[in-house]
Amino acid sequence: MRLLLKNALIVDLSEQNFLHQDILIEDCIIRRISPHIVERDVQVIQSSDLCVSAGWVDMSARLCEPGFEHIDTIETLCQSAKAGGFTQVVVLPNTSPPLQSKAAIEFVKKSSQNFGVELLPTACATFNAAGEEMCELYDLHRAGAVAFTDGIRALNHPEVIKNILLYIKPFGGLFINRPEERALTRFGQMHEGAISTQLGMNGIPEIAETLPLMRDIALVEYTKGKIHFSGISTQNGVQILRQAKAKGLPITADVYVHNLCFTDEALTTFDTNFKLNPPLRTESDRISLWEGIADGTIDAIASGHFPQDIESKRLEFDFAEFGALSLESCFGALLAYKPSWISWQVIVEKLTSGPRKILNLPSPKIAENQPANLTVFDKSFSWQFNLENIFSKSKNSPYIGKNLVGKPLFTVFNSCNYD
Amino acid sequence: MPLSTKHLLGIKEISEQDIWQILETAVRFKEVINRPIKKVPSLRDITIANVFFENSTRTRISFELAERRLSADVVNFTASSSSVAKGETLLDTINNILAMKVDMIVMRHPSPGAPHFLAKYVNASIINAGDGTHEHPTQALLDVYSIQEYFGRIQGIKVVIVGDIMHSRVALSNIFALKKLGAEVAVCGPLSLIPRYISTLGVHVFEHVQQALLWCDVANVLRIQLERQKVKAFPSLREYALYYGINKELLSSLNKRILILHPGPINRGIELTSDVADSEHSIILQQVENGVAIRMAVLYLLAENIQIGNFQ
Repeated sequence: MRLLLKNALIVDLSEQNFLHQDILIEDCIIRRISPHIVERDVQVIQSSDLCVSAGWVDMSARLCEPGFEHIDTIETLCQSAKAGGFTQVVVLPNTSPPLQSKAAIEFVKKSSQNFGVELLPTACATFNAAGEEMCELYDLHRAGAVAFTDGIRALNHPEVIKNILLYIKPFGGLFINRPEERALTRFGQMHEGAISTQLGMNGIPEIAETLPLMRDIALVEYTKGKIHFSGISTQNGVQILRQAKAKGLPITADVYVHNLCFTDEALTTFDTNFKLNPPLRTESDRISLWEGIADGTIDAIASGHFPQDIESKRLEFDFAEFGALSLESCFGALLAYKPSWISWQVIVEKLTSGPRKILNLPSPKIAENQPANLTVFDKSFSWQFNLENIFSKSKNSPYIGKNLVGKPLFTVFNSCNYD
Repeated sequence: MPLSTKHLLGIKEISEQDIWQILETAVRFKEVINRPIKKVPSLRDITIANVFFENSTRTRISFELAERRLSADVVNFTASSSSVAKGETLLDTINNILAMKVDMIVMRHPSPGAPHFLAKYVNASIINAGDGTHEHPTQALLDVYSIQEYFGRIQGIKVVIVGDIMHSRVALSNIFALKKLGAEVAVCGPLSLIPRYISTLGVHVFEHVQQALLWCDVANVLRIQLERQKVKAFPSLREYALYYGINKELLSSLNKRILILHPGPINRGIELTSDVADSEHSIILQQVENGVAIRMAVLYLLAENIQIGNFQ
């Protein structure tokens, strides 16, 4: 299969090089890049604002297989990722059984091979993500776990965190934690603020994020270990990170798309598709997150893709589960909801080089005779996100019916199914 | 004139005009329930299900009396005797009841927003009889009715709500109703039981009960409920009585007369001593009587919409 991209803007962030070129791709190899290519027997791709960048990397998606195949499968997850323009996706270890053995890591790596997306498995930091006994982290690292995390279950025991940070340092392991003090969030349904007060709902206070952030940063200073924070959601959280980074500490962070797009105002109708963790905060939090992206405090944008079946969502609000789909709508939502002072290039950076630096992954080159790991998109395409844009087995998307800007057209990676 | 809404989900959602319409209609029904023959035929052919997923005595009886005095057909459903325990979803439960041709649902439920959720998916008039820690609109309506009846106005009346504000649907609905009708509202209670962002609702917070009582014309004293607290935010009922309880001595020290409301049931000796609850300050039993009139008014006005085919 041969593919010809006509007049595509090559978004090469390492070189800060943005040139319109024709690109010929053959068998997943970039064959030619030239201002004007004429070829026969090729599939020609044209779009009004065609762009191509290194394939996008997602920092956090829920893996439902094994254990929750009724919610989503590896195949449907890969389809969602491809539709969203992602070629590599970090998946959480909260499956059943959890990802905490060499065999489980190998299973995830192998099972996504045929779907044109590379799933990057994380492994549990502690056994059963229970926050107590450390897993065999070295063995899991050798099996290919890209990081260690208890995923949706925040790790809050300071001694366990301290030991993990020390233990994984010699082999360059990465620990990911979600800053969430469970003692302050266990009954919470949404952000604690004016809206939760009006709705009579138990709130998730901002300090539930800032307290563990401060604790973990102190532990990083103490151990000289490396940490990545997943799902920053508050203004003060961004400020704490900014100060810690100014000290030169080895800290990185990501933010979920939802928190960049919506606020707690969305909850006034008790729509459970907006029941998220971290919760949707206020407008000033949302703007602070974008500021964190602009000044580099936040290194990556993660989808926070979290499928839930309808039985877990079409319920009274406090009985419904947390989480929403995100992969398919990610880029279009970011461009539609970004403040005007944020450039689309910054968003692409936070989906490409940002996550790759955190994970220490090689950066794909857009150059002749290089293997293709590419995302092809139209950055100005306006479209409405609908049910048929969802590839997940679940349909819990807060973006249904929303007008989005910018659309991934296809990805080229490993297999050449660009449809 | 019927109400501009199909449901009574909360005070936050209804207009000031609708509130006045309910209060004025309740005046007429209060007269009706004080007649020797208390029954009118207004809701003949209307079937109402009282669906209670939480314990309730007075609210359920009050609704049922209101319904029967309007000649509605009434069925009662409580969670303990239901299939809810067998794991049926709320939607399935309600749809089963509606399949038996029920026009209105009066529901009490432990989850905030449960009636709003229901209103989205079913085609019946929903009346919220209390949804967790969110709203209890008919209680707020009967409270403002009682204040209006006593003072002849609501505008400018200073009302303090005392107790566990965080876990109280009565507090929230009262705040919305009183603010809409022009009263000044404050809250008072242990700070661990007051929502951090309560002032965004335009209410003042008093830390000390005496200061609160000195300020107010009306004290709406809430039942202090240990069972609704998932985390114990105060040490004991005994200490609560000591710290925030209202007794005769405290009232006398104010050198002014204030009105005491309580949504019931009272914990005598805890939030109110008996000599306060039974004093001339208190209109607790009038509130209960007004509750029936208010609920008749709400049912009557919402049923009008069903009878004339609005919101179909």
